[in-house]
Amino acid sequence: MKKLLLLSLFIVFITNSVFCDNQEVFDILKKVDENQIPESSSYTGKMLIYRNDKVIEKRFESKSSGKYKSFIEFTYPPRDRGTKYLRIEDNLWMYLPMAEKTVKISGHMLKQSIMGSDFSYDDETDNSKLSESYNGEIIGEEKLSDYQCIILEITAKENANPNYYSQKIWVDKNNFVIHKAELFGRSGRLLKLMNADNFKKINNRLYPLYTKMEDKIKIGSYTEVIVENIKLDIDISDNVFSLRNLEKK
Amino acid sequence: MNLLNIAWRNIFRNKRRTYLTVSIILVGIMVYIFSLGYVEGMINSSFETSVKNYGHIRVVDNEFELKHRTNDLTANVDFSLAKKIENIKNVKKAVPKLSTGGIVFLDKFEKSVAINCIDSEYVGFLDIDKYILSGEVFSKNTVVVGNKFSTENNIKIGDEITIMVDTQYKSISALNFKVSGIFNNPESVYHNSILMQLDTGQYLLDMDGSVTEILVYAYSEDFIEEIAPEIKKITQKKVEKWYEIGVNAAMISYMELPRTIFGLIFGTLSALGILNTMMMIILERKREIGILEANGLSKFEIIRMCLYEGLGMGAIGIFIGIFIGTLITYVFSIYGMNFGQSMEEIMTSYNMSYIIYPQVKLYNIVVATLFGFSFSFLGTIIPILPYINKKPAELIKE
Repeated sequence: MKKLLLLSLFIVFITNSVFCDNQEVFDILKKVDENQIPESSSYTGKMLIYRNDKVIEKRFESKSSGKYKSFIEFTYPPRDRGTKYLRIEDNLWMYLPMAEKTVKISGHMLKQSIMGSDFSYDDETDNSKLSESYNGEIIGEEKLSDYQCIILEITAKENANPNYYSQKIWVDKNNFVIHKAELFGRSGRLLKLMNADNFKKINNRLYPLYTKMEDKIKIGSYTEVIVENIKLDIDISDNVFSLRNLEKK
Repeated sequence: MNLLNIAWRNIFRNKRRTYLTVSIILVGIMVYIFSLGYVEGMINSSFETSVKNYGHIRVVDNEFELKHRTNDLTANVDFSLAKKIENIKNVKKAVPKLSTGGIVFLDKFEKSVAINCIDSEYVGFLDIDKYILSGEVFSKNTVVVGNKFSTENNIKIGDEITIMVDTQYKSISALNFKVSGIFNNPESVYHNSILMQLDTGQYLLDMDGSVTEILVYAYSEDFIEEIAPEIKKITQKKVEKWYEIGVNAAMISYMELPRTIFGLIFGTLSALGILNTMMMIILERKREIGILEANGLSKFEIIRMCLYEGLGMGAIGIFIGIFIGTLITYVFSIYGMNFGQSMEEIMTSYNMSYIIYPQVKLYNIVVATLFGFSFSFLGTIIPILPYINKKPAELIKE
């Protein structure tokens, strides 16, 4: 009887500690989402692709609404001007102005590089919330530059299908923004390394204006995205996220 | 009586056996000549296909082989290198070429296609204009489509097609083109392909100033060994002679094997024929040899007489065999051996055309003659040896 009581207490303790840990991770991820995943956004951006000794500059305008709609139009260089991407849920369409053609990109193609950068179509157009897609645990703390960060290891939930199977993220202990993330595939292989900086407070959210993505599969390559003229939580017409707008010259 | 006369008379003593022996030698030599000619034809086909596709020498990036398979254009070479190579002595042309894979969008479907981009300056040199079946050669906004690709996808001259590709920076790019011509290059790698102007291709693929290959053509294949080191002096890129490219390297060494095998098979066949005949002759004529020896003929003279007989039959078989073998090879060297389009894929994977033209070569005739006489000699001498040391009385008694 005494043994049974001890065992029950042990089970309650373990369950409670796991639940508490999960709850704490969930709370952290939720705060990160509140900061970094706005209801809607509109900004212009500069993409700098570093490839060995070459730097390729591209400029774009981006609009997103909720987690399932986004629209990107490239404005520079001239050969890419007018190249547009429309994402609605799992469907992505690309408009190629030189051929005046719309191409649908789906499935594994979404994992491919957007405009030759280190970001994938999914990285740039998917606004899914971390708290909805991942479970995880806190594995430690570390100071990154001046920021005290909690290190979390998060893994995809059973029914979720996020862009990366697991991530190791460095979350600012005070502001709940991600400064660094290691993104892993299902095999456990490190696929990408992301760094974010220059956080700006907009509508009570802290949003990174600088993101660096390093594709670990490519050698000597990384991409920086610098966000300018950003507006968050604004009204964006549904007409923006339409095939008609995509094909508008 | 002269030994030669005796040998000659002996040859016709048993005509049926002589015909049989001569026939065996004849067939052996004939098949050997044809087989060598066929192997030469395969090597020649491989050479011609390779030179047409890759030049006598090809200059590519060191990672080209691996990256080309995935249409990764980051393995490229500087366009200006072609002009520098053309300044090397005995180089006829250095042709910059850009090749990759892409997708052709038609009205209701899309198809993968090989894309080859050539500077219009080299259209005549590469005989592209000669292969135009209908329409005309590509220009800035037009492309030429391979015959098979156009037939299978019902593409006609004047149709507008969209070609979508991955640029060297891995972004998607697409352009619309009008089909200006249909071409029918005998090289099957071009059957499912599209040809376009080099600068248009460079723009489409974002390859300004770069190409994937430089094909170097020498004035003669004899200059290959001399030119290759000169190119290596001016570039760090991979310089490959035609026989070092892809499957060719294995093919050339592999081709030496059938030469030896055919030689051994047909040589042994001829030798066995003569051996058999000579063994019978010696067995039948033991008494006769004993009498000849008793009458004063030396052992050496007996060997000579048998050799004249064996080599005489050999010579008849060899010369008729060479004549018929060369004639058959010559006929096929004109009309070719067509294995049909069903074999096209297999032959192409070995850089060969599905029509093989066997080659008549003096070298092969000389080798066949030497083989024939060597085996005739062995076939004659081996059966005599056991009896040559026996005394005439023993031979007569036996």
